[in-house]
Amino acid sequence: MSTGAILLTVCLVYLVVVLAIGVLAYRRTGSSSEEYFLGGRSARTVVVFMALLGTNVTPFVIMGIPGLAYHHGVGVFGLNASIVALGIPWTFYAIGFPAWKAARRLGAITPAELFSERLASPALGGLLFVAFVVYTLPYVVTSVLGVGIAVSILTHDVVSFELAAALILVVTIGYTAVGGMKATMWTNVFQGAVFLGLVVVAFFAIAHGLGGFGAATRAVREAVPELLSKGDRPMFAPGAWASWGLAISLTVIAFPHMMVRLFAARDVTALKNSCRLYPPVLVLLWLPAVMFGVWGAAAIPGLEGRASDAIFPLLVQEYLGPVLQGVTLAAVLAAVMSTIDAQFLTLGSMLSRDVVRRLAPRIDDRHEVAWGRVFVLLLAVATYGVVLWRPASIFGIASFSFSGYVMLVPTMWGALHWRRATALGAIASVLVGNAVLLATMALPTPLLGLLPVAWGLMAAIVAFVVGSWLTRPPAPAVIERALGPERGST
Amino acid sequence: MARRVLNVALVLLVVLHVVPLPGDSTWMVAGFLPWDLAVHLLWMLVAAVVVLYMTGPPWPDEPPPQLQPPLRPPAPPHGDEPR
Repeated sequence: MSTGAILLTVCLVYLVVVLAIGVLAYRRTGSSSEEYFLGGRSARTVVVFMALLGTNVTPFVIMGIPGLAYHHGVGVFGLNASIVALGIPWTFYAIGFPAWKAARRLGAITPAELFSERLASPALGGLLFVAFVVYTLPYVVTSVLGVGIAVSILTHDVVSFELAAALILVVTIGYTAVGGMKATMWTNVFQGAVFLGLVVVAFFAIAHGLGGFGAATRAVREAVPELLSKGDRPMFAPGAWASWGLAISLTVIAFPHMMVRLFAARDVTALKNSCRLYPPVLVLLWLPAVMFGVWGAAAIPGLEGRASDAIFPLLVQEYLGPVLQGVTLAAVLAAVMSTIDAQFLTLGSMLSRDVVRRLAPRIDDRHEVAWGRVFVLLLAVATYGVVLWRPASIFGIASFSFSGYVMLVPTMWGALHWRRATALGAIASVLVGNAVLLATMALPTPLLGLLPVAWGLMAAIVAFVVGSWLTRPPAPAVIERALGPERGST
Repeated sequence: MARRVLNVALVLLVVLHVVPLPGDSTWMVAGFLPWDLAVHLLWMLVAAVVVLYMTGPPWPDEPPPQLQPPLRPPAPPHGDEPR
């Protein structure tokens, strides 16, 4: 059997399994919008954690990070991986858990719905919907870009970049539109296991191909020794280091597709276990990802700029056999599909709940879901257009997206912890934060050494507090409905 | 008290993450792991312990599912419901 045939067979087996799981989930999904968009809020630890992980891990990790480490070395690990091992579980504790409780109390299905109900403001729901769409679309683009690059390299361009990108969008929309949340969560368990397993196997197999861990690192020391230490690169300077740590830690809870996964948890045990599992699993994923880039700089030198995004598939092609190449391709597909299915489903649910339902209050559940499906289709077309344009590297596009999400964190934290918070404070926070973010992004160099995300976040916090103090909070009954009775009240 | 302990641990970890630790960055731990990478792996180990603690005593009490109020149906849009 030729290499191409083996690759194709492995990928087809993977896709058949995913679609089979999707169909099974469809048969067990009721017709209500809560069943379709949240799987009936019945997910337990394994499903919640794997769905969170599957949603969280994209080609940003398995292609963008190796691409970045190829140029900047081992410092990329500290810059990204270590801080999120603390940051993500902490945000689940500080924002995710109170949001989960409030969503249950209110019967909210989307983050925008939750915060607009909490602060009694449909306008805030609309604004959050727009912000979520604006920052999620580039993130979806990074995923599809990753697939296009990996498939075209591993198939020697038999399947072109453009065709691969189109196929992944069609298949994902297929099972998402049919099966809803239950399908995406169930498939995420399988997909998460595939890419986690592949990354670990590839780590050992590529190291073996390079002559062992010691030999691989020695080769780097001889060819590009500067990659084995942080050095004095601008991206590792204290201000940039601290502000990027802030961005990458806070952004994940603000992904709407992550928050709805938390809403789908059956009980608090599933949330706590997910927090506990995050740090060790991140080591398993990020350590190989960074080392692929560092080893690759010595083994396959000469990749300039965003071309280094291809280093992981290039290493796979060079050092792994055809079956593992096929599994790699399936793993990249898994990483992508498990993220964009959640992103599409969440954006679709937000259009249905936060826009259509407000404009047509008497719409039934069936039509609400149909609107969500049509919107997802339009988003996929827009995504494909941007993918063909390919405006920057995977890391570059993702960093824009992550910074934008962080501007929503003051609203999320404030609405869940501060009873004096108001809708105007939240709206001011989102608008001012984004304005400052974009203004500082336009500067040629970071202001006082801090990245734009840090300035935007500070502005968003100030605007939230000032805006809330200047306006009246919602009625106590509205606040109590979302947050429960105040401590000390009878 | 438990939350205070957690907050102190979190602040210490963030400070340790931001402040560069001393050490010879050319040193290879176990012959292949660069020092700058090993330090952050150790930091993640400590972070994992702190996260484990966070899911214990500092986590707010939550009644078991059978004692929680029933789930409310999805909320109708504003204007449909008397407030």
